Amino acid sequence: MSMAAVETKKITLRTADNHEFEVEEAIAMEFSTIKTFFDENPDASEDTIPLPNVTSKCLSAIIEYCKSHLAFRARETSSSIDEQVRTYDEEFVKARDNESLKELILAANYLNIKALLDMLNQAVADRIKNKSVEYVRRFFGLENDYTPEEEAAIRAENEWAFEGVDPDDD
Amino acid sequence: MEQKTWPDRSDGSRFTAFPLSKPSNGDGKTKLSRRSKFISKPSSSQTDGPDFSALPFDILTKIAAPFNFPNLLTASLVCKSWRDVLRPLREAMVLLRYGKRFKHGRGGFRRNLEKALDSFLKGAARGSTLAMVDAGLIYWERGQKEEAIALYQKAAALGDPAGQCNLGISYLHAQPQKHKEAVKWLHEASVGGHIRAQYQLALCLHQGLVVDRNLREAARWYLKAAEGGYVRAMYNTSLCYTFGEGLSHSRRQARKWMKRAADRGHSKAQFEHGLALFSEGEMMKAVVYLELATRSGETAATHVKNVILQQLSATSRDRAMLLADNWCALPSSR
Repeated sequence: MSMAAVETKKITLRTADNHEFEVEEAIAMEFSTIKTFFDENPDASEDTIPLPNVTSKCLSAIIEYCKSHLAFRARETSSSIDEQVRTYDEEFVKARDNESLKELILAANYLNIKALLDMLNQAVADRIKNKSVEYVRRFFGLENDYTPEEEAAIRAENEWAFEGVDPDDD
Repeated sequence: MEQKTWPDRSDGSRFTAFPLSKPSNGDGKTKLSRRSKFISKPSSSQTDGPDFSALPFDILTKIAAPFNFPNLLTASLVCKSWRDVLRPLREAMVLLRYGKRFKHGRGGFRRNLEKALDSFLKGAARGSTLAMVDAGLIYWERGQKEEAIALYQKAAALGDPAGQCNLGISYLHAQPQKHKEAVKWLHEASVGGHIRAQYQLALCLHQGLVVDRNLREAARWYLKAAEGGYVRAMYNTSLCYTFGEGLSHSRRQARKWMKRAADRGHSKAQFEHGLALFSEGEMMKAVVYLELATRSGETAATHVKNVILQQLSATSRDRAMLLADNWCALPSSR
């Protein structure tokens, strides 16, 4: 994709595994944490920003995401664009294994990239909603650390929700 | 030269750092082999990869914010750290229940909107979008639109379709109107499966509120809402099929949806359906629907109804009235 700008400012980011990434300013500004940093330190733009909490694999996925979304936003809003964004997001999540998704959530949270974090949160929510406890545990690779007594306690504590005649939808 | 320090994320969001140490529950080896069934590659350079049980609690809370109680319970039962993080939301559910009882005056509670609002606000403070939406509804009914919108915005931002729908609708009513915003949020809610939002969105698109009249999109959403049980959408879907607006002309589909709307109490649909039955020669059925339409105020139905009644015997007339008296609308999602 060709950029119309004559000279796009680049920001250098260094990941936890010591890779350096040169990203266009526009993309770096999608990371609110970085944006805030530059707002407060305007003359720091030449420095390399260390990201000790983000791996290179993670960062390259994030950069790809932000690039694509910036491109989508540059176009006219329409329902077909919305459709494309949705498809892109679905593919983005599908292509990642659980390990990567976890890393992405933590990184997106650390870098404060709202759109990405919201999207990932929604993906996680969809993996919990209307599923069995077992499914959720398996999907996220979590151990059941409840003792039988503890589990019974929690169920008993919340039994009230399943008795009584309150309708669901009002 | 001063070393520029990287901003510390101590801005109150209680973010916990990327966990590099082994998680305290279970032994690492077992966990890794369990996970590898669902993961394509083993964890790379870290000693131990990020662990979903150590998901920062504000993220888990955000994720679970729009959950209903069954889903919240599922999440709470997954493991103890999730249980602990989600405690405030479970408390919110209790408050939500109290709020609803106060609002509707049931379960031994006397109707009390003040107390209802109070309960809902407490639930909202604990992060439940369901409580936020219910609090917003009370504010809206009282005319405190700004407070309502603020709550809807919070819920919408957390992905709650009802919040998004209500936010969209409030933007439609805003002075000055915020059509673009309205459509944006109605669209979010519609994609999230909210039936009323789908109908409202279809209306906006049909009227060409933000973009140029987009009949195809509008019809698509009418149909979606109709399939979800929204009666007015059923009626509109029928019209789309009749006039070939946004949907290919289909008399069969048009009749099907008109009947469905009629059976669920839509008075205009009862009139139309009655007329159609009349033209097909089904006099008894026609007159029942036309009677129902008349009773709901469709004065236009009276004339045709009387025409048919004159052709019927006294017994048939009585029977038709009895059917109309005993008629019950089928359930719908409004």
